[in-house]
Amino acid sequence: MTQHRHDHQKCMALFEKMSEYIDRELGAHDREQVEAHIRACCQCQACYETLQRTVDLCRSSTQDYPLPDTLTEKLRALIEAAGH
Amino acid sequence: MTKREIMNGKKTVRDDDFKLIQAINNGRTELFQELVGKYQQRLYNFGMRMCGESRDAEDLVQETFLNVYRYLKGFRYETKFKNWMYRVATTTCIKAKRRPKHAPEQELSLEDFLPGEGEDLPDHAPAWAQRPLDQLLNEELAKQIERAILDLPKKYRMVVVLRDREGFSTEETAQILDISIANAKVRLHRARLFLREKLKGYFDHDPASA
Repeated sequence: MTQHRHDHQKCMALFEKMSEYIDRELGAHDREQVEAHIRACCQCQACYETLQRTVDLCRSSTQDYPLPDTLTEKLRALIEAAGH
Repeated sequence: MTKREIMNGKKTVRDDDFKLIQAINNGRTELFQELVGKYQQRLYNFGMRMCGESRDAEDLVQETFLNVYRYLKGFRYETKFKNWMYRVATTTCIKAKRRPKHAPEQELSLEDFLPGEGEDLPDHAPAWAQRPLDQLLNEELAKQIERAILDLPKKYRMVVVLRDREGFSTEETAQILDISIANAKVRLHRARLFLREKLKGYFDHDPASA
């Protein structure tokens, strides 16, 4: 593999904006700069892919927790008591 | 469906709960149980994601609904009801002193996640970042993610739970927590970097999972 020349300043700038890039919250200019850098820097591409995957996993692994049997009744009693 | 209107110079958000809340505030307090039925599962999930234990999550749900009931008349429809309710829940959560074994309230710094001096950066993503998501996800990994989130200091945990688990936008997350959008973004990014390190550690120790 060709040795990649790591431009530390650009990498740091990208590192700070990576979540905003993932969330599509960057303006067009910043987004294009990030994309150009990711294409050119394999280390930053690897960094981006692992962070994107982390976010994907967080968002995809959400399931309902079983509600305790007594919770609904406790809430009813609590609200009734508060209402008087 | 959410509509925003300007009434008397103030923004009014008409969401799915608008009529129900008006009815409750006009005296039909028995309808509050409908709100409970609609949101108890979501709030319990939030409590479990924040506290990790059923008893603490139950306490959070009860305190939140009680406060929502007490202060509902003061709700001004300036945001969606759900977002206001989460604000009540997060305030309750911030005040709660639970489980000392939880992560200490330390600051996470960006530098914590940078490679050390002379450390080589990988020039390609590991297998776990490239495999299809549905091949990767399983119950064990879901538990690892939950544990990693619980290891986050609370102020970072709250942001990542609201944004990446509960599905709020960054702007909504900032509003719920009463912090600036810039601050929410900083906390979110650091929380995600923290979680990424935890996932790296998990997959490094269990290459079969990756």
